[in-house]
Amino acid sequence: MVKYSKESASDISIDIAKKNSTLVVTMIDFDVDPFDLTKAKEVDVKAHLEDRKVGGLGIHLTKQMVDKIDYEYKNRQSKITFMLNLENKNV
Amino acid sequence: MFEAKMKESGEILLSGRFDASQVEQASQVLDKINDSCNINFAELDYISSAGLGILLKTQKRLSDSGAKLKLTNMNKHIKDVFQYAGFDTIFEIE
Repeated sequence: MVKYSKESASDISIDIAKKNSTLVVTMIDFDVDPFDLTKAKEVDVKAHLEDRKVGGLGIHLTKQMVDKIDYEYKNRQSKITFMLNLENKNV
Repeated sequence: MFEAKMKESGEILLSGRFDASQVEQASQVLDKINDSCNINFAELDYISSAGLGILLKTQKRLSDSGAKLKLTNMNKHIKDVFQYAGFDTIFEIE
């Protein structure tokens, strides 16, 4: 949001909550175009060095590290929610 | 706080947090590498995808001349990040 939504001068809202054993992180960017990271093209992490492209790892790493990602877009607000089950996790 | 320092031995020591805001500083050091080189992660606490991107770019550039990076002394968290990114197969990690 900070790097790619430069068209917006608004602050980003970040909410961190624990619901039962789940960590829920919600980020909202205001007055932006949509970008659904859940539909972003997958990075081929098995590709050989010569075929690897620089970029795209941020979304990939996020998907690897959390249990669920939701994306909503409404009224020029982009909302991303990450969920991480804290049970048996060394967080 | 982040630092990328080239030691007299030619080894590069990374320290602190290597995130998107440190890419330019890191590039100033990594772009000077022209041969195989060790990068020591002993004092690095965190690396973001932007940091991974700079390392990949360097490794790809070096491989054109048959050179490569060797990455040493990573903490467990950074090792996990490298595995998730598939970097454990394209870098020599000690």
